[in-house]
Amino acid sequence: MTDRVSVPDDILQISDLTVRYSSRPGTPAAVDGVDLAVRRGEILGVAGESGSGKSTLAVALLRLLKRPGRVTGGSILFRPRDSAEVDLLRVGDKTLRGLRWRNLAYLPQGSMNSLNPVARIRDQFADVIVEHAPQRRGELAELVPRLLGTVGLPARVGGMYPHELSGGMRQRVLMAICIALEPDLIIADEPTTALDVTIQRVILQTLSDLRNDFGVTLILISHDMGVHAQLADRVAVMYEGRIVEVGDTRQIFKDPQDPYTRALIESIPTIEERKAS
Amino acid sequence: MMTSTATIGRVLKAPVAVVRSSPKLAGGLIVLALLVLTALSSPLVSRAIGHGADPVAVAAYERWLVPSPAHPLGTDQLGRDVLSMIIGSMSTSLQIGAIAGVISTAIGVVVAFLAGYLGGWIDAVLSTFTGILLVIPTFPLLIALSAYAKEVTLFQVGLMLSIFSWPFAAKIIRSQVLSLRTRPYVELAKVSKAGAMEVIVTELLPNLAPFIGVGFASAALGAIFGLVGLEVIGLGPSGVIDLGHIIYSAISTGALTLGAWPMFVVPIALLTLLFAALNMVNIGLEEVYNPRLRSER
Amino acid sequence: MTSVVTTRADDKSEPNPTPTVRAVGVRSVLARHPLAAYAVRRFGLYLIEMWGALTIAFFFFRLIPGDPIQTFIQTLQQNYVYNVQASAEVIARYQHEFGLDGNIFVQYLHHMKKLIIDHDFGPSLINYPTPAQNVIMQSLPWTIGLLGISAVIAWIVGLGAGALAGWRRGKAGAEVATNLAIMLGHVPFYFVALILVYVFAYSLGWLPSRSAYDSNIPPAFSPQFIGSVLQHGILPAASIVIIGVFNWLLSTRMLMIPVLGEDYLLYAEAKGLRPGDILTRYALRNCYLPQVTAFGLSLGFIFNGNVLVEQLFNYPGLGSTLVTAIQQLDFNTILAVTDMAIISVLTINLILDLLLPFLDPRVKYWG
Repeated sequence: MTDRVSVPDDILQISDLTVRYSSRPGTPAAVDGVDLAVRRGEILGVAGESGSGKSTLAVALLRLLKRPGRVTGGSILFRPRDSAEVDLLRVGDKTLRGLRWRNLAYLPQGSMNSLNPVARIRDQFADVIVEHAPQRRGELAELVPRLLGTVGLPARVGGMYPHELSGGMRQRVLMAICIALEPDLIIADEPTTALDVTIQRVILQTLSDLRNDFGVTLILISHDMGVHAQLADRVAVMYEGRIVEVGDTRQIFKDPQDPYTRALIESIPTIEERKAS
Repeated sequence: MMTSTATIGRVLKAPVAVVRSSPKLAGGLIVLALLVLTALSSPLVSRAIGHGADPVAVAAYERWLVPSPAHPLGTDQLGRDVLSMIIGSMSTSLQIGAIAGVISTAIGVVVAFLAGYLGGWIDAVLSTFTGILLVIPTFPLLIALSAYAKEVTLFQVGLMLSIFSWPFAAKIIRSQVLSLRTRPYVELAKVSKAGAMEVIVTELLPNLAPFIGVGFASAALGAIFGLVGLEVIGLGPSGVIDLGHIIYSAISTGALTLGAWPMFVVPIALLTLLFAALNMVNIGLEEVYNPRLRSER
Repeated sequence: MTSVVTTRADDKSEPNPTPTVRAVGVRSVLARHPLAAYAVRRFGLYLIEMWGALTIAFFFFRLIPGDPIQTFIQTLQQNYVYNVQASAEVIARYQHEFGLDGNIFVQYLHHMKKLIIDHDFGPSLINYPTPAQNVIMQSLPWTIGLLGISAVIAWIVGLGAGALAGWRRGKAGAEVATNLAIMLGHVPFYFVALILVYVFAYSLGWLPSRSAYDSNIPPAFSPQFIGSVLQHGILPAASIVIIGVFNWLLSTRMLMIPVLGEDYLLYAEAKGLRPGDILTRYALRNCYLPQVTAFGLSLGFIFNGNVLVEQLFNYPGLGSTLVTAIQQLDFNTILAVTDMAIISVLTINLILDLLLPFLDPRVKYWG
């Protein structure tokens, strides 16, 4: 299924993206000819169960795909706010590094081991600021507590090590680092999975504020349809590497076209159902 | 009911597969085999060069001959043919290494099992003792021991060296014993009626075998290292002539300055090959048991 | 022997949960106790190892047959043309002076007391009557310089090379270097020294092959002297450094490879950090810790090789002193050198082990 027609102001235009893990012919692609046009400032949810290809899509977008996975076709046009349009798949390494974090940021799952185990939290902010915005070095002392405060963490977390934090705190630290340079586009991979419901609320609220206050575009990967219902403007549903349905969230929930979408929506536990049993 | 031949077949199948799976291991073993073969060919070489006489008897030939077809590596200061000497002494070096390796491994296995299985303060004492011998510089001690052993046999040299090289084997084997101790099949074997011998042969040994192999190679390596070290400063035990002695006499008789380089280059090269082969065996075995370490093809 | 214990902050119920004050307090109190317990345990182990090693050394050297006193008397007779058969009194006096009266256990206790309390190894034979400890004090700085600097350089260079070899795994340069290290990593320092001397000193004549400095230059802190020291130190140091680098390369590479698949490396790349920074600050910093311990453990081995290297280069360090002392059966000096080496190695290991908790915050050593 293809997305809406792309307009020149779209921040991201994915065309016919294909990712394979095995070179043997006949094996299905992990991502199979995906087309997506992401509007500037929107929150686009990508839904699907594990194995649908949504995480592979996220990693491929960031050009972080590792062997044996390979991108075998397609293009990803990215239009950052202050520089030229580039094809993320073909742009040079140095240019890509320059775009990273300032324009294109990644929010991984908090339960992963994403933070450097031997560095304090404040140093994990520092390295990305020193690399991409060295002129703001002097502000670090006040910047880090402020960012931590945005996600509801006290300033003393800056002096701690990752193993001293819980999963929820780590997720929030990752989010604070993510927004440190106010990127154009954030790709969030399962930001609420394995967290308490209350923490989930905090995360979702913060992400929503990001878009409202700063105009950040957000691609939100999650298997949890409830998350998309709360946050996403549009939802793309993936199944076996293909997009089976994409459109306005409310529309999709009201009237899902594809049987798979219907199954996903029905899997959300609701209060009414519990009452019945 | 397992027949003994079936058991033997099972026990052998694993090592063969292991060797085939690692080029480094196979390479190391091949080099070792070549060295052994060369050493074994010593009588043939002697006969070929000596034409009936003993080519390493003093004054068998003229002194300080340069390499020629009759004497591929020349002769030394006493007129002995260098090639025969080297091949003969290589056999000695290999034997000493093997003896020291076997004794060290035997001691190491015993110590490792005692420490690993019994645990507690026995482990503490044995491990501390092993640790001391591994950390401190043992060369002076080896020198002392060697001074005590003036006219000794080959076997006694190996025994002497193994006093200092057993910790290498013990440490490696102990760590594996510790991890094996908690494996399910040990418990299972205790519960089932299988004989203790059968359990040891079919379950424990195949898993321990590579580590015993690494222990053996490390101990043999350390032993020959120490021996050569002693000999090149002239403090080696006399009574056996091996490659280290040849290097020493090459230096002390000034072969270096005379340009008679085969006499010290060839033993060095052979010893280096031996060490490299042992090292490759070690690394090959480690790679087999930790596949992530293998180089990508 | 070590176990990982992590402390976590709590953040359960509130919508904007903060780590409770209790958590931070607990963390700092716990930090004090297990660290101190670990330090005490480690120091205890140090004392036990020290005692064990010094005892082993003493008994080993006493095992050497041959009566050093008789040998000494004979030497004296040759030197001073004594026609007197050394009377029992003279022998007894020398025996007393060299700590050789009483049975072996009495000698042992006497020796330990003098060692620990008086720091006295007794008079040396090679430089009678200068005490052995004074004799070795002159050679000690040279060995510390040569061995110390070589070991550290080899470690640093080897760690970097190994990190690169692991990072660039599969690429030609890394594989060639790795295979080279496997082939040549176990060549004794002495062989390398021989070859280096043959090539650079005899054939090419670029570098000197003996001594620690040119004897024509007076020892001082002058540029000429220091330059001469450095020049004479290149070949001996190179013998140690080359092989050391190969070995550290291999071991570091083996530590680096498992780290390559970690999530934090992916995240660092996503952050757009430079590959060099990722290699050092993220990858290497997370796996180099065992190499710190390994450095301490390698010192004994390096000392062994160093003895031979010094002998070959006639370098006036502890190694040369040791060989001379052995050739003259000078027990006090032999023991002095051996004990000095033992004490140094064990102490450095202790210091390194106590440093470990500060180098890696993840592990709290319960001991």
